[in-house]
Amino acid sequence: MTRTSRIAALLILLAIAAAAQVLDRIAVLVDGQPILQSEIDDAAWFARLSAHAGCESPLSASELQTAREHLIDDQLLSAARAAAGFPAASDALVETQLDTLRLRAAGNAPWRDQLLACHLDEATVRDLIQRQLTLLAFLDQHFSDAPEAEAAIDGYYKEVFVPQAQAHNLAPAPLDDVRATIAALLRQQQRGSAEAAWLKELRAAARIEIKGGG
Amino acid sequence: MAALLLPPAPSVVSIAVQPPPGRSASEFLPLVVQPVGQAPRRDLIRRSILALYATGEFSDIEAVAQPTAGGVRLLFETQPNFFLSVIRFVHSPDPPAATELEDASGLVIGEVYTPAKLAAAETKLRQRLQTYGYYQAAVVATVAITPSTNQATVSFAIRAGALARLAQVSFTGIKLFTDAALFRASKLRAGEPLSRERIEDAASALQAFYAAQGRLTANITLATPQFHPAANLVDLHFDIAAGPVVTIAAEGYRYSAGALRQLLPMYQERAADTALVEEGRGNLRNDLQNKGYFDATVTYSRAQINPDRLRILYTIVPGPKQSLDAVRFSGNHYFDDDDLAERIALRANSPWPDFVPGARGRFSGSLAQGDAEAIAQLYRSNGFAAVAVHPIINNAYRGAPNHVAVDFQIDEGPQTRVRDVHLDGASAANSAALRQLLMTAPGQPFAPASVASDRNAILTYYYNSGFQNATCAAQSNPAPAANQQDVTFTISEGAPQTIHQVFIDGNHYVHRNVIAHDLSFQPGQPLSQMELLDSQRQLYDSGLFTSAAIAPANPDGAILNKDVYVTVNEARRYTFSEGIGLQVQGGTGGDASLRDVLGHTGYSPLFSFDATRTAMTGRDQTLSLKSTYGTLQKRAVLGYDMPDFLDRSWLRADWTTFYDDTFDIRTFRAIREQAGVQFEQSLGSAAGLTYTLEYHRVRVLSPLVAPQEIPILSQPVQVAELAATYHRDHRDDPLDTHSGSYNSLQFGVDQSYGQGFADFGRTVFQNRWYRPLGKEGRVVLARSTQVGFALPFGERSTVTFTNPITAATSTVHDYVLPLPERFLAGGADSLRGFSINQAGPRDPITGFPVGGEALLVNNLELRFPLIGPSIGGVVFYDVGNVYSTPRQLFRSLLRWRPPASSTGSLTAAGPADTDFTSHTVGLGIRYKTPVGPVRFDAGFMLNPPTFQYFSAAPSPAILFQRLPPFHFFFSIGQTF
Repeated sequence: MTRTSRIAALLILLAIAAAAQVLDRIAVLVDGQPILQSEIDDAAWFARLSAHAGCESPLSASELQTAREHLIDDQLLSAARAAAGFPAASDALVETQLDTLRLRAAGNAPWRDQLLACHLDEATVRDLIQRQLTLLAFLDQHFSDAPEAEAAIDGYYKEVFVPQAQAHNLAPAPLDDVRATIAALLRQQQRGSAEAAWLKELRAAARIEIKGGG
Repeated sequence: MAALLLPPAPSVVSIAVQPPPGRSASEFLPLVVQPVGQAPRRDLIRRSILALYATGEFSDIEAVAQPTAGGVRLLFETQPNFFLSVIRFVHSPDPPAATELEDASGLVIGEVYTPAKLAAAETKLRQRLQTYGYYQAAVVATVAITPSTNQATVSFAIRAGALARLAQVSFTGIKLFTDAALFRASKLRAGEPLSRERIEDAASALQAFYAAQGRLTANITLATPQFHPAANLVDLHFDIAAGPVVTIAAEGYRYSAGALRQLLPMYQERAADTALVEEGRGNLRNDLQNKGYFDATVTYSRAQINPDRLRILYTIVPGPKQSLDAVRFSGNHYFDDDDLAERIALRANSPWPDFVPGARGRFSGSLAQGDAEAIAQLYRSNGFAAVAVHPIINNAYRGAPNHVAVDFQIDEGPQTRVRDVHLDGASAANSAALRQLLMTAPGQPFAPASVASDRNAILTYYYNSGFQNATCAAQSNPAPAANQQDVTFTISEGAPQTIHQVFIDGNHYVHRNVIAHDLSFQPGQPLSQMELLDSQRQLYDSGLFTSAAIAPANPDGAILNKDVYVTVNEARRYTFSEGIGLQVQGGTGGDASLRDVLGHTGYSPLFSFDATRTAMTGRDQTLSLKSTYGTLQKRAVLGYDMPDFLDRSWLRADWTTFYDDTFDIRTFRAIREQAGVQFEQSLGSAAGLTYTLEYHRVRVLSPLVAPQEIPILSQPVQVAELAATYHRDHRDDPLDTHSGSYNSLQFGVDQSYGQGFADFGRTVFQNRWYRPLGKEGRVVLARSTQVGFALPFGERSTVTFTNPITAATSTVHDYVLPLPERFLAGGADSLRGFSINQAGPRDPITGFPVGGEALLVNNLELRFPLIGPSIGGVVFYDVGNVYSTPRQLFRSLLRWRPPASSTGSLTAAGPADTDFTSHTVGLGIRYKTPVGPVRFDAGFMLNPPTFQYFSAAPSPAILFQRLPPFHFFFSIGQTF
């Protein structure tokens, strides 16, 4: 039995020490596909881990609800990805991201302690990272860049960039120098609202059933 | 950092899964991957929940750990899914039909029931009813759950309300006519109930209106109707684009207006888009080629003469009229010429005259190329991968211009054969069965098309054996030896699905056993889609149900052992039909005068009433009453039909009793009362035996026969008959046969209970034979031969005849068959040289037909197409007659005339020898209708007989009358 498994078993032991305990259950159905409570818990803990928020205190109801809604969105996006035949993120990419987290934890041992504190194991974190990276890449492709209209860039330069520079007593850089930056900024703004609109559309067309206690 | 020391975690002592009702936990325990004896692991529990959910049997699952001695008990608590087993509609209007409503609801028998689906179904049903004009329809759904069987029965109570009525109609767009004119053209009326059909008719009427003006491209679009709920009224709005007037003409070859209308689809479709114009070009070219203009070219142009006029002109260059004299093959060894000729579209000319379509043969360069490819394809499918086929066209065959011959030169090349066939992944049992199905086998010609077909056959086998997830990939590789291939089918069988339980619903009157009898599947058997479909068809064909649905519950779930739902909608048990018609019949009475021997054409109104009650005693048995009433015939038949008699699928019993009052021959009016039973034994799909036990009583009224015969022939006769008939039917289509044969042989024994009548045995043999002629088989040679003998025995009677002129008497002591039991012939369905029942011996005094003891009817017909596919022609030759005795039949076969017909006096008192064999030739027209061909026949008897009769006025004399040689008949169905 691996160390991680024993740790997980200990947690389960603690949970069931006194009386019958629900170990896991179906929390949500999205178009007939189940999301388990344990998956929501994992996602919420991972959010804390990613945000360096510490895992000492139990998960709050709002954290669980947020994690649940993200998982619902992920499920809808995963279905769209599968329908489009978009490939999953490569193992190498996932390992790179995992290495980043390990480095941020300043070593393997602290990393393992962090995982233990957040009731996670590396396999679960790997799965969560892969899903994240896959969906991000899919969204990037779905909202693949369209060249920003020149009028929009010109408008932003004149109405926002130049006044802001002048307000700080700075000479505004020429338009050609900042055109790419302004274009990227406008794309990011539009992407956010486009993604939100698409998710809203997907949710409206989906059958989402929250099970009792979810 | 040191390893974390942890106390040992509690082990799982036992695992339990709460199964759905009707199922065992043992079906689900194997899906739990958490092992006993180990601490519960979250990932294993997660996988277990997902695997259990994937079975489709559960709507919710919780994994619960209960402390127990030695550890924990792991329990998977579940909520079952319920599956739609019955969908009912109560008080629904028709149209739409219940099947359409079920389709519109989106609910499918066997799928999981959810409240959300029910709510969506209500909305969809309301929307569908709206399209039929029920804008205020209320739909209320209720569901009844049967927990013990996981079934959900859904009922939709529909209150359709009144059909919305038309308030007003408006028109916009380029109309070219006033709204009033368009309203009249739509044939709508304000205030009328507005069903979907009515709206569609209005749109069609407007389309036809514009088409009649020549505006074939008119576009009529109906906007969404505007509904006014308070008054239940609807406004309609049509947007119209009238389009130009389209004129269509053809130059270069003279076509009549009617022929153009038939060949060009723009007239029927009332449109003139490019696809239709192109189709018309193809039709014209094919028509010209059929007439022998093999090199005909047809082009078309569209010209906008002015904004309101479009002209489509077909320019035809027919070329010379040619004839395809010969089609030959050379270089073929594997296939002979006949095999290849069957594959090609080219047709050499025929002896038919020019006006017959195709008489000059069928040829074109593209047809020849197509045929070459078809021949090559035939060779490739038999292993000749390198075959080359070249059509050599000779435009001056035997030196004659415009006489064409085509020679297909074939270079077969080597033939590749299959060396070995591997079935990788198939179990031993399935392998043996699969090899029986495959066309691809060692030693057989190799063809990729056969391999692909075999792959489909393999998958079909697996699907019908319950392996719904089977996959099969086919691959072929060259074998070491030259011209050989090895074929490998790589199969993944998957797990077989089986039938868990069968639930039957929807029946109220029909016994469950009757439904179960038609099902060809049982619990425990593999789940075969083919068996489900066959059973569904069997139920529908029984006539007891308007619809029958058979579907597995939870079709998408991973569980392998599936319930099957059989849901039926019973047909109305009682059906009534009534009719009114006109019966027209020659050779009938009306005037009892002895001068009117041949009778005349009789007309009678005919009323009919039929009543049927099915599902008698809850079984597949039917009680029926059929009755007709007219001055020529009054008939009532009460019958009880029992298929699967004594639970034997090959045995059927029919009990009948009937009353018949008929006046269809000149001689007498007969009232016949009959009761009987008939058993039919099926001997396969084409043959059967029928056993009949019948009792009937016939009273002859107002017989117009010799007074001496009255004492016997007017007496009621009671006959009990025991008969057996063997029949064998190999016709391709009983209604309009083109090939095959039909044979029947009947033996019967009849016992007469009337005073003085003989008992008799009867045998009737019938043989029908149909042979298509020519390569296309459109001409059919058909023959029907019917021979019957009645062999009296038992009591002989003494009949005394008195010559009315000389008063001389003669006595005959012989068997007397009851008049209604004798053979009769003549009419549209037997010998067309006679009016109905006018053939055979006649009473020597009155001249009326009296029937005979032997029958021969031989009909020979040549049936051929005349005009198009619907009108055909017939040339026929009928031979035969009714004979006084069987011995006389053989003596009279070669007699052209009866021996006593030309004498001017009745020298012997008593019936003369009037036996002879009639010969009739004739022509007929057949017009195909959905209920069979309507036929008109004109027959001319080559040797009409002369018969004698006694006339008392103006002075007693023996007179002679010749039967008219011409007869015309009009009826439905082929003669035989």
